[in-house]
Amino acid sequence: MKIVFLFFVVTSCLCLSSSLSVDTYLTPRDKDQLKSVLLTGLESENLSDVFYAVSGLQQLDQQIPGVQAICNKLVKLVGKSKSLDSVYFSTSAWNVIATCSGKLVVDESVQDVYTMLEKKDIRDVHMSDLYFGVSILSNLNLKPKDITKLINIIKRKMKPDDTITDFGYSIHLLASLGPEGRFAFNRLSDAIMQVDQVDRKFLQFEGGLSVTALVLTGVYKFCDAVQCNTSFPIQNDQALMFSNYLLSRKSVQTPKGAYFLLSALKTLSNNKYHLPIAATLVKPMGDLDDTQKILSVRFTNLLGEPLPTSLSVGVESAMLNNKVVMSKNKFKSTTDKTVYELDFNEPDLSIGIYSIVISATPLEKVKIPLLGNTAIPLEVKVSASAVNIVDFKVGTTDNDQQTGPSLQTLKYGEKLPTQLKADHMQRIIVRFAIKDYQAKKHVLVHQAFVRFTNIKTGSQSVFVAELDSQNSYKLDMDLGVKSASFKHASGLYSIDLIIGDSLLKNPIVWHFSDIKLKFSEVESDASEPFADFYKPKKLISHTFREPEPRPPHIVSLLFTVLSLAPLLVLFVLWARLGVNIKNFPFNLSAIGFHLALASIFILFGMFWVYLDMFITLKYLFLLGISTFLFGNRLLSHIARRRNK
Amino acid sequence: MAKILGIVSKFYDNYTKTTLKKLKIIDAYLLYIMLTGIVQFAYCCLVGTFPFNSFLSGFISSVSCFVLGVCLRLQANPQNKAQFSDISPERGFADFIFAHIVLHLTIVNFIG
Repeated sequence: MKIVFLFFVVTSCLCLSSSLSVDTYLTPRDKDQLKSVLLTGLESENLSDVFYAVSGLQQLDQQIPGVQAICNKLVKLVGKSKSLDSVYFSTSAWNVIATCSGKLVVDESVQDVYTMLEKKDIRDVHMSDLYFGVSILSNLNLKPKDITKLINIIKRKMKPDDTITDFGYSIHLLASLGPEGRFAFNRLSDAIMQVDQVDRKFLQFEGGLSVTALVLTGVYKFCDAVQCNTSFPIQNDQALMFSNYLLSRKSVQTPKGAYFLLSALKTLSNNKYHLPIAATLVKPMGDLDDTQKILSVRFTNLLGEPLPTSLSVGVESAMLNNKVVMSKNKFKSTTDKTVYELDFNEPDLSIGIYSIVISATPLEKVKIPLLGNTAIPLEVKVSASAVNIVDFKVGTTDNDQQTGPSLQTLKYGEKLPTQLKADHMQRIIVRFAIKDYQAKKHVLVHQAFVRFTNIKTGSQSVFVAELDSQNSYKLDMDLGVKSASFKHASGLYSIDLIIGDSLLKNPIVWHFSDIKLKFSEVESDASEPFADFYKPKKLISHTFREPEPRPPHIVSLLFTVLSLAPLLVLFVLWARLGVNIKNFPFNLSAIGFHLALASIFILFGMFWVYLDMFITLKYLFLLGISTFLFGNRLLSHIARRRNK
Repeated sequence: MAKILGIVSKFYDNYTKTTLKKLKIIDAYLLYIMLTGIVQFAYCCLVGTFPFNSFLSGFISSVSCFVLGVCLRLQANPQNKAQFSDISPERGFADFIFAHIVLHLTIVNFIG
């Protein structure tokens, strides 16, 4: 697994080495937001939040409001909880504020720390407790009694399968102990291998912002303490990806996150090994047009501070629609040390979105190498501040096309002096072309609409003007067909032309004419007010199927008689065959059987008329039993007689 | 034509002579059921099916009574003794009654 990951890291470093850059930094606005997040932490009754807030504000070089109240709060809270972390947070915050009067009562905890360091059995000692304990001592200007012993404890506690948080605490702890922690150097690359890569752009440790920042600051501190020098374990690309990750979290909302973000960014911007830089466009996407042709790019460190050297910035390549448009142009420096400008004017540049790659090389010799200064990709938009509408014609024509259309020509910005008229047998034709400011080239836009607004009701109908083969736009509308779009409402309409595009700075809405439309159908639902749309709809009630008309009474009666007639036929036939009713055995079972059977059929009749299924089944069960018993006796009696 | 008449009359003579009286009674019953079904069907064709469930239950009642009748006739016929050796005519009649009770419970439920 590790080998696979290593391979991945190596290959990703190879293919990304030329395309990684940081495209954002901590702007003043972000700092304000972090400040307000940190200020909420000051209000908290939680010692850790108070520490993060105080410490974060210090990193932002901000005044801490209400210092004495915070000191009192620290004294009060540390009195309540004597656990190592709360003592650590309170003493650290006390030290950061530095001007507190009074005294934190923590002697008991100091004794606890000494006992912990003397323990033989260290299995239930957590790495975080060790870190907090030793930090408490150093906050109080005390020292562990036996540093070699402490280092031995750490050596025994550090295991390859430690969580990354524990690893972060242990290197912070070792960093505070000086060069003797060097034994852990080999662990650094192992730990950094546990990092997760996202989108080939971000690196983070499992656990998010605070863990990533803890480990990152720990590695830099540790290397300062043990002098890693050339073998610094974080590669340049990894530093850039960590920077990208941290800056992607700059909208963090907790004091803890804000503190860790600031400390990590500060470490990245202020170390002996490298300096990641951020290249950002001063305005979003450059925001260039016909009048503003200067592209400004800002180069800062991650905190938005100026770089220690001036730069020579050049364009490596610039593409528009996959065509190379310029190269080797140089940026000029400006009075603002961080901003460099490129004059986009020279060639005849058309509007569009340019993909530019720039590089910045330091002009002076710098001790700390810059990161992310080569092959910085930028997306620059050159938009048109205005376009010209030319060859604008509007008119109506008969539907049968026998007469040619009578079109009137208009200049952009004017309005037809007379009203147009059209009825449902006619077509409305609007033709125009869009050209750029110098009226040289045709411009294609995303949106070209013609809008009809009913002056009386204010209802609008919008139609799309379509592009023809000569790159001009045309709306040819049959009013009879589109009548429904107007809700068949005759009357006076105003017509506007709407032109819009992402590359057009100022969209156009041009009211060029009024028109009187006449539709064939009467103004019916057209007058229905817009608000009616939101009113409750009419209630729908269920209707049963209408019964079909019944046949005349006499027909029904006739068929009743007809369907009973076969019964008569049955009796006649039986009589002719000579059914011997005399043979009927007059005993109990025979009479009972026939009675029970007859009552079952009577029960069915009652079921049809008014009984329900449950009652019917109940009676049927009783009758069924008696029928069965009587029938059994009767039939076996008959069978016996037959066999005799 | 005369030939057909001859065949029919011979068939009738044969029927009246050879068929048991018991079976003739059942045959009369079957004829009665068939005629009732035909009348119902004629009503449906001529007037309409309006209370459709009533028509269906009536017609199904005729058809199934006819089927049950035929079954009874088969079991009661001494010529089929080989096939129904363990079923006496009385047992067949009891089954016939039981099936009718179940059938008419369903039909009355459906007639609406």
